[in-house]
Amino acid sequence: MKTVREDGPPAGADPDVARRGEEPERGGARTIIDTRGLAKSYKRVHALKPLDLKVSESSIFGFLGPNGAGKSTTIKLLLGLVKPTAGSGTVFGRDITAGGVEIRRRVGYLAQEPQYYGHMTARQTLRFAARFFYSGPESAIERRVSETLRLVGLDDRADRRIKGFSGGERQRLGLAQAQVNEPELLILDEPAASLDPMGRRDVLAVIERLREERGATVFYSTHILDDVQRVSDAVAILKNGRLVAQAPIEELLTGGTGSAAVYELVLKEGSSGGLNEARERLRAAPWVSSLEENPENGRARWLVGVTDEDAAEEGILRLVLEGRGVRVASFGRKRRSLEEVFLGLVEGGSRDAG
Amino acid sequence: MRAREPGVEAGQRAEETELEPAAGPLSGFRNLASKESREWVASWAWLVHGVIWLVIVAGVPLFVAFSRTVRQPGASAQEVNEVGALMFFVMGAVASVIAVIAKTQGAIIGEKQSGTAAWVLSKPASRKAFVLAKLAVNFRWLLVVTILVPGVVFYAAMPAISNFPPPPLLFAGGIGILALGLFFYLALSLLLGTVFDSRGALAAVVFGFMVGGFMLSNYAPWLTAAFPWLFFEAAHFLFSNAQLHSTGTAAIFATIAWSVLFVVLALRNFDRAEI
Repeated sequence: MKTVREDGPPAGADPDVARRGEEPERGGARTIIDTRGLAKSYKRVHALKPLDLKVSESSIFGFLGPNGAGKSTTIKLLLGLVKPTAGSGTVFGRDITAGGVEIRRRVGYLAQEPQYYGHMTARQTLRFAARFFYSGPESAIERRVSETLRLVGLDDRADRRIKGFSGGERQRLGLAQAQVNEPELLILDEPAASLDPMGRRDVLAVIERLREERGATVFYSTHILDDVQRVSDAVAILKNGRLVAQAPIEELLTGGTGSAAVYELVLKEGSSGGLNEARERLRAAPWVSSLEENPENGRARWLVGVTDEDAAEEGILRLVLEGRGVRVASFGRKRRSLEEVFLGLVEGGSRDAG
Repeated sequence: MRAREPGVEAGQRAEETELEPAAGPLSGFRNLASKESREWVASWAWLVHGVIWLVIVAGVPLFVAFSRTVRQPGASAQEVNEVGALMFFVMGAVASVIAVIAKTQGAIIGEKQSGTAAWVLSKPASRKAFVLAKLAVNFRWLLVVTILVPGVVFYAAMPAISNFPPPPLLFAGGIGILALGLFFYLALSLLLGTVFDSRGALAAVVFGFMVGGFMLSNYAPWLTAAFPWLFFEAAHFLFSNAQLHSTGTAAIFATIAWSVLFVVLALRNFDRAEI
């Protein structure tokens, strides 16, 4: 997991890269969103403390945090709707404070509570949105609009005024307008907050389709951790305006590399004292940092924290089985749920894991 | 939601070769202007404003001119035309300010508060285009419904009352002066929309500026050379004397300068606004 700085020094975006409008290459995948010490304050309120964020191309990036953590502020900063009070950021290599229009040509955005013009129909709304991106011909724009309406299942309500739309219909319209330009980067702020389970499934389908078909990058904030766990490649967690974790999802769920991996063993005692001996052998190993035991239906469930994954994967079973008094029912790396990780980080404070 | 079909994908590829990216220095202006115009039409604002201002701006002066011919049967055509024109210019000047307040007090504030501004500006639309589209479209519609249409009706009907048509160029000149006043108050209203978060405050300042100006003109007449408070008088003077008096001329140039300043400040403020 990425080390989280308590007070990251603001650093300017690479001016050469920003000037050229190119995306910097990092480790093969281009970085689409890159912020350095990006911060926003309203008078004495620090809505966002210096934030270093990197989002790779074609990734689905979950942006998590409790209400008021600074997620929407970050999104508005990336879109140029508000100006940072410190630090800098680039999207597609363009400075977010100077390259707003050019950035937004390649972005689709769905706000947390999307608002549209009530006098327009769904079709007119999409046509209006599409004309910011395309100048013509009209027939091609109409085809794009119709196709987008069909994709979100609003084609049968296309010519109804959106003033009378339900929350779910508005959200579908929101998804439609966000993808009408086939964006390279889709930014969604709580896209499933007001949706029923089918609506949530549809949101995830759009996210995955855009990535699969177009190689789009998706940056989305949400409270629905199951969804994040299902589709995301990487997540960042904010708390009180401060980044407390940023990592690929697998790394986050398995405890990260090097510092906090946890292995789970379910054991049966073959002979008296076998478990005690195995426990002593494990505890003596220099790479074991913790050992937690829970009885489970006549078995013993051990959670072994380690500092060296390679040594652990090679040595845990060997050490446990060495005395022959123990049988192993199951063994594997412990996967925590995202909810556990999230609550641990948000309720337990920030942590370094890198 | 549905998956794309193969035929649709082929169609989409063809479409992609046809779609042309929007470009230009005022990104989104045409689209925004078209939206503003549609709002006038869809909300029937053109009809509501059109009828109200037609009755007040054209109807009242015509009635006053007609009353003059009834009360003073020997009044000359020029006198009747001048009486009618004076009332038309007074009504037009007041109506245009009230119409500006009614139609544009929420033009920017409302969009900031409702979130539609944030939505629009999350697209490749420039903030300048957002403000200028409101300025251009509202000016066009307000000019038509508060001054031009009533002006045409008034001009067409006056010969039936006075038996002689008013001088067309001088009347058009007076209308031009009113149009400048309308632009001034519209620019002021949009500027205040970028500053305030309250429609009431905006309306109070714009209306107060007009009423306060009328009052001040009695006590500090020299101030009327700097603002469009007595534009109705300047328009009537032009109509009656085929020339502008020096105060009116100064007020016209000052109003042009103020209007430009207001637009520049509105653009600057909105460019820096947190949406």
